[in-house]
Amino acid sequence: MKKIIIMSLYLLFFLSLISCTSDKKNSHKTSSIAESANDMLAQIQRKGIILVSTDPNYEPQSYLTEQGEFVGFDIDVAKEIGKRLGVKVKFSTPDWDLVVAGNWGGQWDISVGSMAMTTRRQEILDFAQPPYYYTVAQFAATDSSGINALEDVNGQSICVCVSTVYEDWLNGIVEFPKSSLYANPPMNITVIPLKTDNECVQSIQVGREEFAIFLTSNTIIEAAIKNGIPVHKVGHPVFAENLAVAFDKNSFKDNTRLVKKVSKIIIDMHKDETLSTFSIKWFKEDRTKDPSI
Amino acid sequence: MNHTSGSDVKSQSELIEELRKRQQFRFQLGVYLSWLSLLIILLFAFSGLEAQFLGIQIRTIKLDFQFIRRHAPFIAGGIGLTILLSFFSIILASCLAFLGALGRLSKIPFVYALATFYISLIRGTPLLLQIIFFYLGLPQLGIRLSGMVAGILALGINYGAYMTEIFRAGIQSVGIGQREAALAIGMTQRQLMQRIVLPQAIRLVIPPIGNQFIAMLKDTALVSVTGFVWEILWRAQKQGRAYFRNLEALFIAAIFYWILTIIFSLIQGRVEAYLAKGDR
Repeated sequence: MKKIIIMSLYLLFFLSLISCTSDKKNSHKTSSIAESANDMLAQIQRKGIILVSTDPNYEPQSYLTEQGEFVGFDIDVAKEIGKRLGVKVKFSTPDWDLVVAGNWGGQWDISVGSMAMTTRRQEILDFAQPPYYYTVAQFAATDSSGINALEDVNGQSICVCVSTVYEDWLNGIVEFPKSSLYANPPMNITVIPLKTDNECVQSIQVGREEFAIFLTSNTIIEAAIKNGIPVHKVGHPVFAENLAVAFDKNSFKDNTRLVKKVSKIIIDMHKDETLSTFSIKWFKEDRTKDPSI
Repeated sequence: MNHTSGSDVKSQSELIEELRKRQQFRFQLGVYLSWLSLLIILLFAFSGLEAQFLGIQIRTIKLDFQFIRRHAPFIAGGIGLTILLSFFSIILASCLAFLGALGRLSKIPFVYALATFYISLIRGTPLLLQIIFFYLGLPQLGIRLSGMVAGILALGINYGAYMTEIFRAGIQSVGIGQREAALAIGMTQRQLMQRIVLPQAIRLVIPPIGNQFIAMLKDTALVSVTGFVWEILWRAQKQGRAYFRNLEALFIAAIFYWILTIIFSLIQGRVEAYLAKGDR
């Protein structure tokens, strides 16, 4: 008797797992039959909610206030996109490497997270065109290091955030058009990839000495300086980044219409100066104009 | 006790008792004072003061207390989720551990194999890996779980494997004599489990489960890696990074975890004492 119960319990456990999967698959199949139901934009509008991924590590793009509210440039842009789509925006907070890895599995719909558009990322992600703002990547060094020119960076250890264009560029992987590149990667360097850009800054702040240099976007260097970290920009920027809204290429639903619609919204937001206004509000300058033009 | 306190003469046993009490009091006082001084040393280490002591420069960790005051409430908002995660995970773990223990004691090869396979697989891989796997792997199968549910599943399944041994020990603690007696009076296996074994086993099993719960409180921090569960550590890391005050944010989180474990250790001590009553 006991054995039968245990056996059936185990069976039940596994069957429930299997039935869970097959359920989902079936519903997926049926939805692909009905054309409109397979459209991502239609689904978002039906639900009235768009799930936007954001990583609230970064002031002033995306961070949390003491009350736990999302604020920042990316947040404002995301909310405006939601407004123009006529849906509510809900923020989701996956880690950065999950976002750039693609295969989101429908856990969030779009990324408004200052993501640089690169050829490699375009293999797994779709991007809204044009970019919603531009930033430049630059080296920063500690004030005490004596590193002030780009040539000084050669032979040094350099900290970067993992899975970023900064890391790729240092490793010699070029994913931008030539016009965006302002310098060649330094020679004989040691790349130290940490979990976020802020870990690089923090390491310097607490007096660790594995590296005195890090490579990141201008906005992050400025935020660090503003927060009293003893660092300065080194030389001129090394490349420009086009930051765009991203979508999952492998999403279960067809996102062609959504990408088009969001691209149209971005164009409008450039035209009516909404983006410029946000940029001036958060960066104190207009960073929405393409620097390569 | 004879009440001869009217006279000054005390019996030897009373004197011994008094001495024992005095010693115990002195011991406790010593413990409290030591705790207090250790706490003060710890606080000093985070005071940001610099001192010259016998010519040696002593440096301490400087914290931005204004940041701590401003951001502690937001980080504290994760306490509920941390407790909730631990609570549901421990319930799942207990269920799995019970089934696992029955499987470990089973005479059916497949059931025994299933239980040992589960235990071996789960104990043979890191918890952090399992959490990431549950979060990343299951969506590929079409199962899309929220970060919270994935976290509970991963923690529950992991702890379940470890707790199987606790349950097995509990079930086996009921003597063979009792089992034979129950069977002799005509009880079925099921009745034997329900009426004889389980009531006794549960009393033995609950205190270690409490222990596991306290361990779990801290392992919930691992769930923050997926980025979806806003428990204490996730909140601390986000606030720390955005404002370049990681150390302060982690300091706040550490205090909350510590206080939580102290509270639940006290509760667990009570429960243990209550359950041990019948043993005397």
